Amino acid sequence: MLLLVRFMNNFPRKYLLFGIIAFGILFGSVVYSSTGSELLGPELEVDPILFVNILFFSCILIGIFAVLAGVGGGVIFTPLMLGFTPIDSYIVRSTGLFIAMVGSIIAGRQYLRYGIANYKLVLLAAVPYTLFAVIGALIAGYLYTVTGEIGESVLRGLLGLIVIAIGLLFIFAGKQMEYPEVDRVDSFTAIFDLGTSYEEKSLNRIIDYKITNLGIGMPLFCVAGLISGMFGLGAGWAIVPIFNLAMMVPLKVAATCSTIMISIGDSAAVWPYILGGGLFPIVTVPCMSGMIIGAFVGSRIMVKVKPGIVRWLIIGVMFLAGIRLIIKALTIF
Amino acid sequence: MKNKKINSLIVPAIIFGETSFWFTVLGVLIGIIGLGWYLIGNSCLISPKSLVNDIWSGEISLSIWQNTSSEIIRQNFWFIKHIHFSDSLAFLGIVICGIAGMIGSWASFFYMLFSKNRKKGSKAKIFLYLEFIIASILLISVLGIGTMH
Repeated sequence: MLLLVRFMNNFPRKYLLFGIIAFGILFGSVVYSSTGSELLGPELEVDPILFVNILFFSCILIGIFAVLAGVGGGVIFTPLMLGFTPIDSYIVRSTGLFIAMVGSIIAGRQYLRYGIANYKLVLLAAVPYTLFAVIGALIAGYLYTVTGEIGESVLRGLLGLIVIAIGLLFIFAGKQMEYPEVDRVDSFTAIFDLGTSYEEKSLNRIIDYKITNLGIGMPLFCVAGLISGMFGLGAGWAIVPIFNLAMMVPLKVAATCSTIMISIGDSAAVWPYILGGGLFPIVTVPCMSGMIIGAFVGSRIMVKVKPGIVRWLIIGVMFLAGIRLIIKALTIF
Repeated sequence: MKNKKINSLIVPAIIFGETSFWFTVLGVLIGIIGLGWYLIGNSCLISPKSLVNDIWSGEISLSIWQNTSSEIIRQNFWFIKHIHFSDSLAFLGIVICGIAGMIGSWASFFYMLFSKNRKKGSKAKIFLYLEFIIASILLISVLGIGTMH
């Protein structure tokens, strides 16, 4: 672990980016060549224990990098698995949504216990998010069963575009505000009396905050929920900026509320996938366990690693996965 | 240090967090035990070898279920009848994780409804109703009402 930390801190960023691209091309070409019909015909024997181990250790790595980059595991897992493995997209999206849900429930406990997450805000935002996450999952199921390969390709292509957009958001989005100042709370938000306070242990003081623009946030949560349910992604990348930049919620509260919202929304959205036969224990259990261990290890090494490097690493992986998904989607035409 | 403004929903929030956390942990443990038992190769409904080969060859999930199992498995909550099989046990773990959020929401709702310390008034009621709506959406999803599978 110490070696990994030293390596990441000392490695020059430009070489790292070259490394990511080279690794991506190499990994992509190996997997791409292995998806040829001659290699993956029904006669191919894959050892179940090897399969489980590959998934488990890959998910440990994904979990570590997700925590270090400050994103949920689902947003990395789904594009990577869809872009670089031959596994059916419905299975991948079901598993992605499931691990996002499990990860956020496990992380959310501490945030609720210490009163950092604002539960009033969570309840308000979770209603549109949950409703639209279920609608998204139902649309995904419909496209899967009714439109066949073309629907699948459209979903893959759209996911590729979304993943690239998330990567661009990471690069170009304005800096998030740690403690936004609210001059005036609008009349609609004021009805719910959402402002409260939390103890900021790093500063040893109580932070009082106000919240505004609930009317702007609500429709945006609908869009975030729809994308999450439809594509099997966690939606922290969308929810945190909505809370922080649109509704002026302090960054820490925004991040914790986002985790709780994902745990609620994805608990509902995962069911159309479970009942639709998208989850197989032989895929889900090693991925889920790997992600939990990865998140745990990641949180322990987080304090020692420069976050910028990991952020660039994740951006590189997301671009590669996005491009690969678009190429895969276009092959149908 | 300045006094902290008391968050009126702190107890329901903790109830939601603790309930869903412990159910998830239980589900994860059952899932791991079930998968371990499944990989040893005893007492399973679907052969792990054929399942892995189908998954890795890019077979779509619907046809994997059709290829590897009988009609019983296509029913919702099929695993309950076959809980003595290793793969059903692993699936039970997944399902427990899946219902953890719903149980947490209902626990939180019932606390808000019956607590002696609960605040009265229209603002407090809004959040009670919101919790009820969320718990109901979760219950509807778990029961599969509205799904097209």
